[in-house]
Amino acid sequence: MSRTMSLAACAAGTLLIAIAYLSAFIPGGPSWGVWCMIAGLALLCPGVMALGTRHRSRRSTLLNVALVLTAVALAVGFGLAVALPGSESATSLLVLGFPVRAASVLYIVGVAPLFVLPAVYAITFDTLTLTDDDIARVRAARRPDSTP
Amino acid sequence: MTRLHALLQTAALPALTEPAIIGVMLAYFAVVAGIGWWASRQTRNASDFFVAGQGIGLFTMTIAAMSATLSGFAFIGGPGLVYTIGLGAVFIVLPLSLTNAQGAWVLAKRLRLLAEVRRVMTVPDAIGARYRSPAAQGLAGVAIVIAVIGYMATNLLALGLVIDAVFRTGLSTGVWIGAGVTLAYSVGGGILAGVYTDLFQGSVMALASLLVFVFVLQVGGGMDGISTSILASDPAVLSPWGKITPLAALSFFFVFGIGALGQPHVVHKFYMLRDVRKLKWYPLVMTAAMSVTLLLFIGVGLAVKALVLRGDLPPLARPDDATPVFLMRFAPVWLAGLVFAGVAAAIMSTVNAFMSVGAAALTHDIPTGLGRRVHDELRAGRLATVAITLVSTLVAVQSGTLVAFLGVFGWGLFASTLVPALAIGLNWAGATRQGAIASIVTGLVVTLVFETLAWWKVFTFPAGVTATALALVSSIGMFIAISCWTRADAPSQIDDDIRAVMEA
Repeated sequence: MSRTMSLAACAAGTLLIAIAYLSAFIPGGPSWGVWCMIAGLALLCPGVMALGTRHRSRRSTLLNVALVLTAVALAVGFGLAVALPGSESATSLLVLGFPVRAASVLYIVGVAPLFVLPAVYAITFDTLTLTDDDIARVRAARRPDSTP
Repeated sequence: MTRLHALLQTAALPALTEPAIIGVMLAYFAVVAGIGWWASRQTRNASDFFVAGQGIGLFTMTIAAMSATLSGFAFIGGPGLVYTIGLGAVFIVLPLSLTNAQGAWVLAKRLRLLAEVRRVMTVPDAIGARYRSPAAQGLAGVAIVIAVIGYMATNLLALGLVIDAVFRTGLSTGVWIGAGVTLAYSVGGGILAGVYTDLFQGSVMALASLLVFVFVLQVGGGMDGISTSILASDPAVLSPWGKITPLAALSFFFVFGIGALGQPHVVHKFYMLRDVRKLKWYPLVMTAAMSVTLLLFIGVGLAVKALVLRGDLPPLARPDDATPVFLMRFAPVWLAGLVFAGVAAAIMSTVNAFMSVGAAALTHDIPTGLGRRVHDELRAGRLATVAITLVSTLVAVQSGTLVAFLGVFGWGLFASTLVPALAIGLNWAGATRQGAIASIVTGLVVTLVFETLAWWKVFTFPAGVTATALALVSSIGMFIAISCWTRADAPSQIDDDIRAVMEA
C-alpha cells in the first residue's frame, strides 16, 4: 500500500469518525452515524498501521493482505452486530459461549487479528521491517556531533 | 450515557483484613523494596535514570510496557464496569487485537532507531528531533506534565483505597504510604528500578488473572453457563454493545485503539531495548501477556453478574465490589491476596512510569522548549520526581471528586497531543512543524476546555460523545490539514539522520 493511499485512508477515516460524532448532535441520533464510525475505524486503524509498514524500497503482498483483512474484520465484525436483528434471549444460539451478534464482535474483531497480526509482523520482520542494511544505513547517518 | 469517569477507581473497597492477604501484600512490598534497593545501586547517570541505559532485554521491556499500560482499573474498575454495562465495557480492551502490532509497526522501530542516532530520553525528544522544533518538544512536555499530575493522582487514590482496604490505615494515610513506597524505589533507581519492579509486578498480575479466570469458569459453569444465566434475566448485558449505545461502544474502540499510540509512559520504553532486532517478537510477547492478564477483566464481571442473577450472590452495593466479593466468596484466601498484590502492582507500575515521564518533561523537555539546559539532569530528575509526586499526592488527598476529572483528561491529553505529531509524524515525511504544533495545541485546548465545561455541567454531550474523543479526532484532523497546507516546508524540517530513521 503506497504512502499516499495510507494517508488517504487515515484522512478519510478521521473525517468519517468526525461525522459520526457530529451525527450524535442531531436529535434522535441517526443510524448512519454508527455506520460512519464503523467505516472510519475500518479505514483509520489499518491506515495508521500501513503508514508504519511502508518501507523505502520493499513491498510485501502478505503485509498488504493482512492490512486489508484487518479492515474487512473491523467492517464485518462491527457491521454484523449492527445489521443482525437484536434478539438476545434465553433461547439464543450461543457461538463459543456468546450470542451471535456479540460473538461476531468478540471473535471477528477481538480474536481473529489478535495473533495473526503479530505473526505477520514476526514473519516479515527480517525481510521487510528491519534488515541489517537498514540498521547500517541509520548508523551511517548518525551525525558526528551526536552522542546516542 | 457512559462517560470516561466510570473508568476511574474512586470509591472505597470492602475490608480485606485477612491475615493471609496482609501477609501476601507485605511479601509483595518487600520484594519491590529489594528490587528498588538493587536498582538504585546501578543508577549512575541521567541515561540510566530515564532510559535504563538502553540495556533492557525484550521480555523485560515488554512486561514493563504491559505493567505500565494496565492500571488497577484492569482488576477492580474494569470488572465492575462489565458488571454494570455488560459487553460495552469490553470495547475498552477489544483494540488489543490491533494495538500491539500497530505500536510495533508505527512506533517501536522508529523510536528505537532514533536512539541509535540521537541522545533521546523522552517522547517529546522524538517530536523535537523529528520537526527540528524545540517549541513542539516543549509544548509536548507541558501537555505531559499536566496529564501526568491528574492521571497519577487518580492512580495514587486507587492505591490508597487498596492499602486502606487491606491494612485499615485510613484513605489519606494509605495514599501517602503508597506514594512513599513507589517514590522510594523510583527516586533511587529511576526507570531501571521501574522496569525490573514492572517485570515482577507484571508476572504477579498475569498469574493472578489466569488463576482467577480458572475459578470464574469453575464457579460460573463455563462461558455457556454464565451466558445462559445472564440471557435468562438480563439479555442486554450480552448484546454486542452491552447497555450503552453502539456509538459509545465504538467510541471506546477509537479512543483506546488509536490513543494507545500516544501513551508516553508506555512507548518511551522502546528506547530502552538493548538490541533493536529483538523487536521482531515484541507484538507476540505483548499480546500473549496482555491476553492472559485481561482474562480477569472480562471473566469476573460477567461471572458476578450471572451469580447475582442466579441468586448465588446478593446484588453488589457498588460495581467496584465485583472482584473483592467474588474472591472473598469463591477463591482461596491466598489467591485473593495475590490478586490484591496484583492490583497494587498494576497501580504502582503505572505510577512509577508516570513519575519517570513527568520528571523528564520537567527537567528536560520544557527547559529545551525554553532554550535552556539543565546541567545535572540526574539530580534534577530525582528532585523533579519528588516534586511531581508530592503535587499528585496532594491532589489525590485534597481535591475530592475533582481527582476523577483530572484522571479523565490525563488519558485524553496524552492521546490527542501525542498521537498525530509522534505516531503519524514519524511515518510521514510530508508532516510539518506547523502541523505538529497545531495538533498539540488543539489537543490541549479541546481537552481542557470541553472537559472543564462538561465537568461544570455547562452542557452535556450526547450519548457516545466524549471530550477525549473529540480532542483526538480534532487533533488528527488538524495535523493532516495543516501539514498539507504547509507541505512546501516539510523537506527542510527533516535532518538527514532523522530521514534515515523514517525511511528504514
